[in-house]
Amino acid sequence: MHSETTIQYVMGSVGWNEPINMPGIGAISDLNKASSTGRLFNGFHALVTSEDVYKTVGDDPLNNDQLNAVLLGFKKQGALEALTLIFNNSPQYNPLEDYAGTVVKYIGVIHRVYGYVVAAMAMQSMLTSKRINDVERKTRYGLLKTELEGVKNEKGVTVSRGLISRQAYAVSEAQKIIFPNDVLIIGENVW
Amino acid sequence: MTGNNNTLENPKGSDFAIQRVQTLLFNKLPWENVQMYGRAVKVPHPEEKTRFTPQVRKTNGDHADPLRDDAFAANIFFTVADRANTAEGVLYKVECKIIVMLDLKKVYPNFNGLADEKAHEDVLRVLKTQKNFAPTSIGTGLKECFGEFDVENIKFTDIQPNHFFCVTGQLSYNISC
Repeated sequence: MHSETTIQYVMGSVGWNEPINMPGIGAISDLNKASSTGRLFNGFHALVTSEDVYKTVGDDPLNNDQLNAVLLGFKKQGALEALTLIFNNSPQYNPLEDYAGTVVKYIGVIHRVYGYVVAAMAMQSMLTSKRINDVERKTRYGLLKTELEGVKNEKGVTVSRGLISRQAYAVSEAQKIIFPNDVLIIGENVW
Repeated sequence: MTGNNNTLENPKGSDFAIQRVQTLLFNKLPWENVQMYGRAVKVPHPEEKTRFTPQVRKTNGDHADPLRDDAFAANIFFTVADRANTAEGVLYKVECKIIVMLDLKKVYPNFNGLADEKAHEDVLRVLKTQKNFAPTSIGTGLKECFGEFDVENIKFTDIQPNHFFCVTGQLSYNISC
């Protein structure tokens, strides 16, 4: 398990954009805007903006507190998922080791995984939206599915990469940097 | 009525006549939280020129999508036929459609039963007092309401509490020149 400080550190690495042209919902909280790397989630995919989340989440329009809670929820779940993908899913992960220092040291590569994870989560949320409005029509099912999963031709060759594929690539790149040594199998020859 | 009435500055011709009907509906309909737009233009799809999406003008001049937005209890906009007829060159008549999309539970929170016909009645009662718009028919269903507009991406349906209908009529306006 990663400590709350580590999770908060990852959460603060990428932020949500300030909504524009959305009178009535007000500004989003500093916690949601916080970005130590200077990157925003809409930099990972243009559709993943606080405005689009506002227009596609819930049954009815959210108020400012609800929107901030939803955005923070994406940040928190995204941070947990990114840490699990990079550390816990690596064969070299040691459950007894505290990776807090490693996270701080390698935030430059971890934030990329985090950004793609939150972008994919937000897009999956848009896919199942019950709301009815211009953003819901713009982000129609076919488009979102393509953006999320990419396109393969009839021979199975990837024509365009989706967010999930970019996320997997970012995870593999981060693991190569954070755990540079291959897994060593120490033992007698069995033949 | 409360909500958002998007009127134009210095409307001319059919826009002027539509704005009168639009403002009358906004002032007299006993509904709360309604988004009203004026005349929608048909914007062709970038690849398929026979597919159109409706686009309206907001008060600030920006274009907007006038279709259903669930942040409002109801959304109303107008379309006009491509051809306006005149006999003497001053008074023009054009077929105009008022498209109403609403959430019946939000519009009539205390009404027991199916309120779609009540919505039709409320709109027609207001329109009866407007001289430059003479209703000729009332229609429901995607084809009747949205006609040649592209409805492929429209998810909202005509199932309680959502409802949409259109009132078609003759809109009269003067062009004095």
